[in-house]
Amino acid sequence: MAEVGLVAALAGLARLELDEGEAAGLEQDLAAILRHVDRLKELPLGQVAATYWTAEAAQGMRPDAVGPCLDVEDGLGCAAARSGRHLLVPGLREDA
Amino acid sequence: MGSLLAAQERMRRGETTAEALLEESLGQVEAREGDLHAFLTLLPEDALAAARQSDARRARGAAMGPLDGIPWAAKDNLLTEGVRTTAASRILGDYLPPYSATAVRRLEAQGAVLVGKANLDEFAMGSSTEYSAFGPSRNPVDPGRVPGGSSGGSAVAVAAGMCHFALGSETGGSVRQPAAFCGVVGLKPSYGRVSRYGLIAFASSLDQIGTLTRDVRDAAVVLAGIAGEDPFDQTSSASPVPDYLAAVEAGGRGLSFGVPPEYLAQGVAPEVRDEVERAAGLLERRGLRRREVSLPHTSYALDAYYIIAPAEASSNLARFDGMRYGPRADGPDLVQAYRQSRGQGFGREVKRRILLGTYVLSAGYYDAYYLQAQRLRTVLRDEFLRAFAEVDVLLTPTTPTTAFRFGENTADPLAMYMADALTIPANLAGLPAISVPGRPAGGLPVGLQVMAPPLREDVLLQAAAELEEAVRP
Repeated sequence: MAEVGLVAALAGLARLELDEGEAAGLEQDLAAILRHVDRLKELPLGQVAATYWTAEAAQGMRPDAVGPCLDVEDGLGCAAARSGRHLLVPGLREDA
Repeated sequence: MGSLLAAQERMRRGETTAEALLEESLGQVEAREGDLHAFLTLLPEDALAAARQSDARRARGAAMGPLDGIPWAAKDNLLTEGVRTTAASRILGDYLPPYSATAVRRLEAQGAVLVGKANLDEFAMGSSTEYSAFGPSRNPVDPGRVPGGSSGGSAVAVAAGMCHFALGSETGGSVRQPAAFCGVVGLKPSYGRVSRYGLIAFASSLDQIGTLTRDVRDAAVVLAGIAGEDPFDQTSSASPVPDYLAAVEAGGRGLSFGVPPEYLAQGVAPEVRDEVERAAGLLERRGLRRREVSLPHTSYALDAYYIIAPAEASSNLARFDGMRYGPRADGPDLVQAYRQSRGQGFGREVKRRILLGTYVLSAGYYDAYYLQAQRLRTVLRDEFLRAFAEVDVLLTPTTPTTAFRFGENTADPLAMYMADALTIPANLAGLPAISVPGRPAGGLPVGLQVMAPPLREDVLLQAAAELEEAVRP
């Protein structure tokens, strides 16, 4: 169940900036969705194994093989900002 | 515009060319794109060059197969090298991928002609294309109604004759639901049947690339063109790819089927329920045997999906942070830059699902939500496997209703999510499933869904072809 202020806390964890109106709307949405999915808790499934993947035959690890590397220019082509051959990112918070 | 197999036959006989097929497609785009908005990017020049290469191959007797020279569209969450790929999100608005998805590469290698990149709900999260950051697509049957989603642009492009086939992607029904709404065939293969390499990830344990075509035989041909093991996708299946078209041609009159009553329960419109019962009767008249089956936990599938999919999405979308892709918002430090970039780059539905996923994975809630949902997944899969011990395939509606009007469900996320209630179970269980157009109701298409055991697309397509033939007016 969604508590007051929950969306702000989740937005912090998810690194999402929300404006006040948006946060209020999402708080309502989240509460409604959680009310709906809460009924899943009523099912007695404690002894049932979880299924995380349905792949019939996962390949496991593939053998190491040297292949062509992605061109650095291609790799950096969509970067938001760059300095020469490197990604450019803002500084870390001093108090972090 | 006819089927791709018919177009290929016309090319073989010299009655048309790949260039002429492309002109036909682009003519439809020019006539209808302004109203329907199927595409986010069009590639007329690249397509013309590819069509001319196809014609040159055919002229020297080196045509490559049934897809050579056939115009198609790719959902814009499939990477295409050097061609803008947005996932209908502002955060990837100018993204130029450095490589192509395996499915795209396979189609290109077989000579298929890519016309453009089709619209979708942002990051494939939605059931109507109303959540595209670049505006919705419209249903060609009734432009006042949604085409479904998230592969809505792909379905519109095929339904409006802008291409012969399209690729979409599914996480909870995003190929079958728009196919049902637009009156085309939508196929979701088994999990692992088609490589996910180069598909922008939404929920990795559920995502699968699927096909939108004008009929079932075309679906068999396109699936054969993209299926098979891929060393770049660990979860792709190593099992051999059967000759799907040969399976369809062999016919499915000896098959048995069941109509689980849970799929006709509350929330399914009477006209949709009636069409499923009518189709079941027609199949019986064709010699298919009907047996009773039940899937008692079906109604919980939607709940499990809206825990598992957002959980995986919240992790997958963490990479979109304004550093490696897309626009970066200003911030006094790294964390604020992340927050601002993501806050400005994502739309409301994506934010809703990221927050939900963050919640169900957070300390104290993981067992109650995420683990419980994955346990239910086991129950659902076991129920399906028990049903498939009794029957070859299952017949159900694809969607509870026909296409809804714009704005009808955007204010209520739960109402929107209900549009996928009948398609989600196949994704959770990893089954192949297909939507085939039934008899329209009130002038709107009705989708009939067939589901089969894992990796039995051959049986699925056989049954679907029988169904297509049975319900044809």
